[in-house]
Amino acid sequence: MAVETPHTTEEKKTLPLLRTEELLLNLGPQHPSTHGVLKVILTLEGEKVVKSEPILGFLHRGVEKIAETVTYNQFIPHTDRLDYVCAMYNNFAYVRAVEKILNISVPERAEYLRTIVAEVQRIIGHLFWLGTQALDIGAMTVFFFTFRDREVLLDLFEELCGARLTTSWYRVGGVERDFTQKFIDDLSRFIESFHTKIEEYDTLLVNNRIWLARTKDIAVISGEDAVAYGLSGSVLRGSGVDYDLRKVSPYGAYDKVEWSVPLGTKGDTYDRYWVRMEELKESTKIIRQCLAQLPEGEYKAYLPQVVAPPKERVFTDMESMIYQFKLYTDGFKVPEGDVYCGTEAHKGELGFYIVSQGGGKPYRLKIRAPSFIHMGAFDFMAKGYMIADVITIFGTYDIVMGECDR
Amino acid sequence: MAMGRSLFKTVFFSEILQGLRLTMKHLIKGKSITELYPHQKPDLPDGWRGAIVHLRYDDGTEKCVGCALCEAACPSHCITVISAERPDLPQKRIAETYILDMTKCVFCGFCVQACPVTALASSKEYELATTDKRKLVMTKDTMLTLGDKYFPIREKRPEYSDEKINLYEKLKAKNYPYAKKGEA
Repeated sequence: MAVETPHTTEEKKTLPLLRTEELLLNLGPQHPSTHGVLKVILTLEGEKVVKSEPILGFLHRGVEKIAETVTYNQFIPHTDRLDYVCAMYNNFAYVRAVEKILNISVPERAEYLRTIVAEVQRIIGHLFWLGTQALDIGAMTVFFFTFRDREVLLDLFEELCGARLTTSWYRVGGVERDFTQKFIDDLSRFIESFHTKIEEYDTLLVNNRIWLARTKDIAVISGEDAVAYGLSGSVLRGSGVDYDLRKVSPYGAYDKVEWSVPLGTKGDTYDRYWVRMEELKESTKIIRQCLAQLPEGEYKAYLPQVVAPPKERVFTDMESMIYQFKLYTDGFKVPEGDVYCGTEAHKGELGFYIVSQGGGKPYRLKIRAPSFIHMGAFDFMAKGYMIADVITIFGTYDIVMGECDR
Repeated sequence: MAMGRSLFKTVFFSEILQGLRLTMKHLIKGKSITELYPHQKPDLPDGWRGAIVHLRYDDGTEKCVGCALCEAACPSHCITVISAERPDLPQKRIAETYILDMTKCVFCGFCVQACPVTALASSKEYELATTDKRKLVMTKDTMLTLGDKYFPIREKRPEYSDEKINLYEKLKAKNYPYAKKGEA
């Protein structure tokens, strides 16, 4: 039996001159601008994106499963490795969830210290985002400027907790170390001069026609759609939805200082950029007020069943020694129940859901990572845009795959 | 007029020129902020979390009592402690084997915080790269050597332990099988 070929001479004459079909393109996982190991299968029509399918899980390490095998305190260094550019926020969100299930409060000074460091971390996160986003789009100088200023703040973290990125500074019931005078002086000096740095970034970007062409009217998402996709943080506020957990359910010292929530109007990439730049200014405002109000007192709650007692007491007091041993071997006992606690990280709402069966280890721990939720809206936001804009859309979420795949 | 100005700006790339002026300003006026790392070592603050080391008392005896609390506190399970009685002083315990696997260590400093006798400390040792992975499995001897390097000022050995040793020696001289409370 002869095989019938479709392209007989008769048919070839009737076919159009150029054959068109959709192109399947694998973007990543080894692409430098995917911010980690992310793979996206793009269906292209010419240069237009018809469909995009993110493939996640290349960086999966089973962090949630590890949480079931270690005590609550021992999980703090593991949270550093979720969003590895902003470890302080992960620590903060985690210890807040544990404190909520334990139903304990921390001293007032600790609340202020936590708020200040969280806002410093927000500045670091936004600077990192601005540098990489500009680098993805093609403006290289901004990257050097933002990393120069980020380095100053990372040196402050080094001074504060002994590490630049894997900080592990927050503790259940307080923080690990108090501020030194050098830290406060250096931070105040940075905050006072930070507006000149923001002006520098603005000089390079805000009127730059390439930047405007690459960000305006790109990846537009309306407020309703953003809520429907569960977006949060600057991505949500860029669409004009006034939702900030620091205002809605205040924690730390956010309700004791004056600051405002910047909102975008259109919901395009430029609005999200604008919101983040405004948040940098708001963060400096919060830090300045918190440093002025910083109360005296303890930086760690005295709760020997939960918080490790001070070292001086361990050396002199038998009871404290016993608590020290009990805490580090068995961990503290958490009452039965489950709790969800969301914290406004600079990427969005970072939540921890803990199920406890009354032991020293969680029965189940679920991490609501903003990067993961934002990737869910990727197909919706990338549809109809050019292939070069796909890189911009990765950047505008500020995704980190360590948190996304966890 | 306003339109003419904006046309002027558009034609002559004014915003690009402004940006170039900024970068040129940094090129001429700005001072270098990078460090020439291998030649110029960074100035690390106190309390920096580097390699974990063992400490000694001023008389040269090691502080570690082999309680293995660091082993329990370690989130990455990189410490192994096997404790034993000291052969010369059966009242006292000591870590017979102490292994810290640097390939697993995450430098969180929990062992340092857990230690009830401050026998452990975070040093400023960070150049740990090696061609032999086995060198990264640190034993007590290597950790003590590192501790001598980074912590030359040693803590004084507490007095009460000397008293107890004296008591023990006295009781041993009297041929007591066990030390009893209140007898000396």
